[in-house]
Amino acid sequence: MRDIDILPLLHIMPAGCVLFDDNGIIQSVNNSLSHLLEYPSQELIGKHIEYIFTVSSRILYQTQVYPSFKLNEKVDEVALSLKSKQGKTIPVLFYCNRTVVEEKIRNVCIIVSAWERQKQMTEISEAKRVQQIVKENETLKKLKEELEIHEQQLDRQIFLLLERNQEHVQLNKVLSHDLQEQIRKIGVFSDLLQSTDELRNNSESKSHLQKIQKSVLKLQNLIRSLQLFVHLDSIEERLTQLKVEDIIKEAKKEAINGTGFNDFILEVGEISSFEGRSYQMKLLFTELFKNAIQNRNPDNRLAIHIESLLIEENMYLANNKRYRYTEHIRIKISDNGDGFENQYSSYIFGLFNKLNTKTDRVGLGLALVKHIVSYHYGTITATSEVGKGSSFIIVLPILQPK
Amino acid sequence: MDIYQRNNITILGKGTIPMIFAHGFGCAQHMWRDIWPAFENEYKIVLFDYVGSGKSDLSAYNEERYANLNGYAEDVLDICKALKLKDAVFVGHSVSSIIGVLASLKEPSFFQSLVMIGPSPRYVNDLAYHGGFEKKDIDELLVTMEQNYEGWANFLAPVIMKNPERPQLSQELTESFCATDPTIARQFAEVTFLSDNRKDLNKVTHPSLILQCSDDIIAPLAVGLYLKANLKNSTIKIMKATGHCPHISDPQETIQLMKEYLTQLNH
Repeated sequence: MRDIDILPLLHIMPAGCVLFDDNGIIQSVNNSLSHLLEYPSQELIGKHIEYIFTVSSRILYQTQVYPSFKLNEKVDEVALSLKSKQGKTIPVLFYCNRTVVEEKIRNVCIIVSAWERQKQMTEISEAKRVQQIVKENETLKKLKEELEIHEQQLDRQIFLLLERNQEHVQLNKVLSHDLQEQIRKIGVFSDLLQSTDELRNNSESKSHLQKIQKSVLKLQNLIRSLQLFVHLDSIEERLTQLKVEDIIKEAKKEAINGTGFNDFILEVGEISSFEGRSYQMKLLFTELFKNAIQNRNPDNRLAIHIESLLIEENMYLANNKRYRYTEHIRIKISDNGDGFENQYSSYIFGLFNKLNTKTDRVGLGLALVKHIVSYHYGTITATSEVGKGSSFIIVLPILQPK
Repeated sequence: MDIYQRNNITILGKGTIPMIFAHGFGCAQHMWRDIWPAFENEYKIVLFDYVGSGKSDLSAYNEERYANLNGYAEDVLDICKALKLKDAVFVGHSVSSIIGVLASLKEPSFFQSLVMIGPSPRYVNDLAYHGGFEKKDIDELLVTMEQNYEGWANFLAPVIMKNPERPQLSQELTESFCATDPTIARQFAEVTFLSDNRKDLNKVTHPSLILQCSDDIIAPLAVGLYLKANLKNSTIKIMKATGHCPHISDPQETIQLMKEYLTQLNH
């Protein structure tokens, strides 16, 4: 039997056939396809293969089908949609091969309409959606149980926190009254001792006494700082929309008053308003400025630079399974001071930790800063380079959680 | 958590300056196979898959985290932290360009410059802004994706990479092509195509290169020009390459433009 010439049949076979080059330009289409698309074939030749797809199918083609085709030189059974000249959407299955025929690259594509498949798929999707709802219901039930457990945990934690708070109040009382009273007494009596004749003539005992008095002063200073730290939690301060520029101005004044040093430049970029407690925020900037002043580089005039940026960060801080990105402000406070080695970048925020032993500060400033940041559900990090300066980066939510 | 395993990190190259390649939606790290070898002498090449794509650890996928491009940016930052990368060249394809922007805002010191291949800050048209798509196109895309995943047809199934020039790599780079998990792929598509990061562009401080393809329906020329106008210190190159994947369709032009830019930048 003689072979039947298959070429003419290509035009009438029950599938669209299209040839395109490596740039995606259509070189040839069979009659079935031009019939399906209601285009004369001349109108399709020279167009990009994407031209025959709906917009959504073009996205899928560009992002998934084309890369897959390029890497594997074939794709099979991709469900896409064509758009006819009259604007009709036609669901199809798309098969494509890249072959070399007579030293020419041929991208050969077969397109078959898939109305039934689409119907079936829609049904499957619908069924899946129902399944999904059932699943969500089950998840909801499970979540309800988990919620109960979490609530119980939370209740226990709140109970402990309340206890801890009570202890804080008592500790504050001890610090502000009982302890101070005893120290005051030591001070008074050592003053009395100093004025006695025996001591006036005994230089050794006199020097011992002076040491006691110096320690008394240090102790008083330490207690005052501790009190400030503990006290911060017990003041009830309202949340307001902060005028950050004003707060920074006041903090600068306080830092100058506190240190007696005013020979520095403060550059402040634009800072968006955010919600917070204004007294605490002022304290935060004051302490950061004082820290910069104390750690300034004697060879350079101190320059402090503040800039900020709005970014989205996860509002969950402790639960690492939950995410909700909300607007935060990232404030960077940098100086050209002495700097420190980065291995100390968390140490410096610890209570009574200080790197600079020359100053008589007790090492509370940055601990206070961290405390305030945490109280506003934020984070603080520090980076530094010895001799170049330090940067503190504070990230705070724009709106405080209700 | 082992970040290396989670993000299927591959480290290559003989150089010291880090160059991070971030794949786009619908892809994974092997998309870069024709690009990175051109940089391996000068750079430390970092390839990875986002959680949910390629050979990443799917169990680390978190629907809440990856419902926002910031979640993907955290993947990039986690990798930089784990590898202690500083001043890296970040090369992002498509949506990864914006993921790179977000990461650079959060940790500026990790990055030196941003190379954006087919970037778009918003895909859906909005008043005078021409992103290229209407919301209904994106909805249809999600349905089309579902139709491809729900059935038997799976052109996204795992394949062995063909890599005749570098047979030693074909073993390592045996990949599943895309996110094989339909739920994850759908969410990635949704997050990508419904994102709007126009407001973040003027915050960028790093120098950037925009590689704009001719005839790219995903990121049309108008979008490239919008980026150029809103990114300080940016350079735009209109490529001869067409489509949305010049790193695949025309790696030579992509490499050449990247090299020209980086040479200029570092001199």
